[in-house]
Amino acid sequence: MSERGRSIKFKLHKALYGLRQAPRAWFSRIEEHFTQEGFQKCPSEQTLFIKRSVGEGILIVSIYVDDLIYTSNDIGMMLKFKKSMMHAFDMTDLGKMRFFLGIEVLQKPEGIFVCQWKYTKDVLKKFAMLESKPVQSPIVPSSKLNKDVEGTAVDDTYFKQIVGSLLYLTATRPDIMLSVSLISRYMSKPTEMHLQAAKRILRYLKGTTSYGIFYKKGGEENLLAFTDSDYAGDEDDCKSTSGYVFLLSSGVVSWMSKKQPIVTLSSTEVEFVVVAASACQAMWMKRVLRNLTHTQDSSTIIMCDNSSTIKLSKNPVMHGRSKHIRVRFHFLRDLVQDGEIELVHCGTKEQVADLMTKALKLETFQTLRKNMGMVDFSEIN
Amino acid sequence: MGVSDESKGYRLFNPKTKRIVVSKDVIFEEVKSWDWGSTYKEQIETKLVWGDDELHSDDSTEENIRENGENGFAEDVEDDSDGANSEHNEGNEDRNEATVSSQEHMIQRRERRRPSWMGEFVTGEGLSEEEEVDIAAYIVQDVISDDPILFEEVVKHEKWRKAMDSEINSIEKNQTWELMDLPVGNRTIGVKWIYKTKLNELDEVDKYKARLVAKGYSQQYGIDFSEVFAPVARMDTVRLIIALAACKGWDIFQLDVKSAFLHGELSEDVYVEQPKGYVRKGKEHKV
Repeated sequence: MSERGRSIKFKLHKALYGLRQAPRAWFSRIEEHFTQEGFQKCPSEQTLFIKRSVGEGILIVSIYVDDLIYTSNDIGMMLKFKKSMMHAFDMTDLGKMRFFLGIEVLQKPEGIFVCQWKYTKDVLKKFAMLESKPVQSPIVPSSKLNKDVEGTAVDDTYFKQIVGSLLYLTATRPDIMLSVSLISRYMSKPTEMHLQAAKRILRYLKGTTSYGIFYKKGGEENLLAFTDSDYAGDEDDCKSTSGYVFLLSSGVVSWMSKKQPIVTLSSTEVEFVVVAASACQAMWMKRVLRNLTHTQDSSTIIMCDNSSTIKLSKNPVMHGRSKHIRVRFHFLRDLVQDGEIELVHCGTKEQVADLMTKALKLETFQTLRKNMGMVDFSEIN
Repeated sequence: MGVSDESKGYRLFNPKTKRIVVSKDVIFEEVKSWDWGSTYKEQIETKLVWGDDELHSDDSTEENIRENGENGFAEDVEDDSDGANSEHNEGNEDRNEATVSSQEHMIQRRERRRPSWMGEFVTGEGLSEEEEVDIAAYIVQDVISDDPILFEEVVKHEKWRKAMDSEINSIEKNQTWELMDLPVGNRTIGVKWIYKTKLNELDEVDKYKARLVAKGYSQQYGIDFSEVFAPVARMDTVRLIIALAACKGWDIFQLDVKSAFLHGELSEDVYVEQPKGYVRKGKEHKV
């Protein structure tokens, strides 16, 4: 009807769902509100807002589109914040954080437990693995995957669905990070071999559905990083896998397992690539933490099991190396000199980052998993 | 020429431009053949001559994949992939097979049969546009959810009418828009209703929700939007906050903003159509 005759339309003053600029317009609106309320935006993380009171009071707010979480050491500040938010916007008060972005959160006097129990169940159901036989580790120890050119092809859509679901699960499951990143390399032409590897991860999840990360109250306040690499581990192109793990408050907060972008010539070079990547992440986390607390100005320790890398970071001798390694070398050396990071040698037994790079023996796997703060739900009840 | 390594699309060879392109928008010409014998120039002059079903007597190779455009024919593969999964399984194997064979027989002539899995689909040939839309709607509805799609269907039900009323109310309360004549030279963006049945934890019906959405896909950069950004926190940050709160023994609380995007104020001039069912007649004649 409206199309007929004169064109009478609605001119928008505010956004509608579906408009390209709607999320941005919303963010500008809430950002303005926070600024008025006396919050500071964290320069290293756009969605993190911090407000300090005259005393030691601190209020931390994190935004995820229309969901927000907040915590504080001052109950008065929290109540005031909630009231002002309720007044400015139409809000639902969800009380204590219990379910955020598909992650279940359990807050106890001894600490906080996070897991994806419900999502894991849904994934197992979706791929008809609820009745499968559980296994204790996500990868067959010391097994390798390759392109498997000769193998029987499987439905790639189905395979990609499994990989996608598993990738989302890694939000609280660093123990499957390596195995998922390994199978995700073969998404374009998956074969029976890759599907079997994917099914093994699902069977591992079947046995560990209620596993999650437990952050203990009064745990370690400083960041501790572990880095490791699997030298030329890829059978197809001899690229290496980098891995790092960051621990805080006796639980793992950040991790990565990733095939390196460049081919490296020695185990020292490969270590430079991974330590440089971890150092970048360490610097970012330090900045965010510095905003969240007043402390954290000691240098962050990065545990690494390659002693020549450690020596090189302290004693600047670098012989005729190609540029891509030289750049990383100087980057690291400067950070070490400035006291931002410190490289420390660690034995293979405590090397948590091994979980991100190697298909470990069951016993080692279980020990390191525990070291990351991963426990079964029943263990904390 | 097979399936692209990098994307979901098919790799296609355009003999006119002698380039390989990747596209999802593919039409398979199952019965026609490509005349490789003719020269580049001839092809331009004759505007692509297609042989008939009989195979050519010269040593030209048959090829049957062509880019969408000139002869709207056969079926749209993209639509099919939106459809049921089980059919797709077979399709994939078939396609892999086809890729291998096309490499082997590139030089010799080759006969293309219609892949067996296609038998389950009705081809677009001979169907009117409306019928095609109906089929597409049927497939989408069948696979994703039972929620209604069409306004005409929904408007008969009290529960959905209430949901739409409530959405319009919150938009009006929010002073989101005002009626006016469309200034000359401005474009409008279409709007449509999205219906969703919300379930609670026990999988019971919680409420019926209608959301009015703008068809943002028709917006153009620089004309009706400039910059985009989505405020999503990194998972690392969320875990960092949880770890810190745990360490200090603080409690974490959660709030949820209802209809968050309706709060955002626009800096660009954006005009939208009037939504179905809520066209203002009174003002329409007044202006």
